[in-house]
Amino acid sequence: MMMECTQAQEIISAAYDGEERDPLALETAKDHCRSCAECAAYVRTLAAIHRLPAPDMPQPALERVLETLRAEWETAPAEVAVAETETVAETAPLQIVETPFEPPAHDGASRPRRAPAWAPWAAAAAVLLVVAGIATTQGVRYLLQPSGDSGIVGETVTSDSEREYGEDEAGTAAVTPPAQDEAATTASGPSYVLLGQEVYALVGPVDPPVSSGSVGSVTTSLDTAGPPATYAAYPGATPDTIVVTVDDDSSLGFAAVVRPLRGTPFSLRSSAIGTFGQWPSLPAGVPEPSAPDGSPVFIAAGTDDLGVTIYVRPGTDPSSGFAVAPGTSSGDPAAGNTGWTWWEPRR
Amino acid sequence: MTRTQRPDDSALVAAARQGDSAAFETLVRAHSGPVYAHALRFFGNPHAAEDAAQEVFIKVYRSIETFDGTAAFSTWLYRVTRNVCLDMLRSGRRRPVPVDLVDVSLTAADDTAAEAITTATVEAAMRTLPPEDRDALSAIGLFGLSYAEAAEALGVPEGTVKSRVFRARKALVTALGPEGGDRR
Repeated sequence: MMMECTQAQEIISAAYDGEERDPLALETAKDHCRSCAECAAYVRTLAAIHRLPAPDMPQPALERVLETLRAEWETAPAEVAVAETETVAETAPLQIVETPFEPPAHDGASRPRRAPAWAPWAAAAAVLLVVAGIATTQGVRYLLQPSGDSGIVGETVTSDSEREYGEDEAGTAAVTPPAQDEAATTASGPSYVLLGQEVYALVGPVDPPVSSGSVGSVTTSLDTAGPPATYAAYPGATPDTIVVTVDDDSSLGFAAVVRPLRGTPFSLRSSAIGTFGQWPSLPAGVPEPSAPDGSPVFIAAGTDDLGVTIYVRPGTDPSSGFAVAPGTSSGDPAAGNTGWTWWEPRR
Repeated sequence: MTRTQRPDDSALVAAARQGDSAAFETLVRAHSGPVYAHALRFFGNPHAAEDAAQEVFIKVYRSIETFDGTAAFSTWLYRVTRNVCLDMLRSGRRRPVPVDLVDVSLTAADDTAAEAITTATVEAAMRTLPPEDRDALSAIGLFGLSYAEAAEALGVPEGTVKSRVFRARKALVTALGPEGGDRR
């Protein structure tokens, strides 16, 4: 049986990894390589590469690492606990802007202003960041349960956020593609929804909206594994927030995920987020760079107001939209996302 | 057809989770090589690689209680390593794995070419690979992940891992083989 060189080489490559399951195909590939000078050279060079050891960590370097770790665990559990607690806030992907931006141009007048319900929300933004952090793992239903027991919430935060920390830092969430693995994404990513292309992060349960003037709808399965459903969204108390009515008795507050550039808020954009835990991808029409430096899609264009490097498409200005590379530090509005993110000025 | 033999991590991880620092140290010693090698390939700089390795193991230590064993420890460690490097920025890499899987009898037309290949030349060539190809090869070659595990860790289909690994190897062979020119 004749075999193409590329096919034979592919089979040999997979065989090196123990992944070639078809013995006949492997034999055929070997036969091919025995009779093909080019493939024989390929196998010979591949074998030579394989024979070499990978670089190992120099012993002194390893000892230094261990020394640091010993210092870490000698001061354990208190320090560790602090670190994990800090991470709750650091990895919470949303940024709530307590000082509202300029009122939006659309329907500002018709927006309900339910100060009694929203004032505590804004005032307790930091606490709610934590609540949002556990929403991913605890589920919306937990949040929707009548509680009024902040002490319990506080305790729960610690344990669940530890899980969140581990998964975020470990990259489970960061490398999970949209809808690749519902269970994994639900457990690892932030609780985002999309209103249009604008990404909003869960803040927590709120009172139902007073106004019947919807600002659109969000389609999400929330924290369930079921199919996405469409929910009406209503304006929140600030231009950055919306209220999503889950059912007659339950409403959830969400805040736009924003970052400032030259004093102007830019919000995170994506094309599809179907469930909590799914990380935003670049919006349609914005290709994925193939290199860590953003090339060939983006070029660096300075930093935003947080000091994070921003990237633009060649020939464009950041004022119309910019990208941020994966790997931003914890505390960043997009922390935890190892994919590129896209930001446009808030409408 | 042997893959890199993984140590039995589960017992060590379980002990480490209980606060057994000796077990954690054993884990570090057992896995420092792949972590360091990945970082070295990522950064191309031993000092940065050491810093990255240190950060990786500190993160692992701080979050080992969250490791539920659903995935292999190596898969989790690979994710941490990759993320730490992404956090710190830049690139590099290579792979071990005992050979002789493919017992093609090669009557060496150009053995001198193969002999000229050293770890240094391979590592140099590794750094010329596209990051996504290098990442896939690192997951498979250094951390010993299966294609399925690497696919999960990288968030791409298994077939993509396979093609990236092949593409990486093809590029290395081209760079280092008889026709490859630059030997550095």
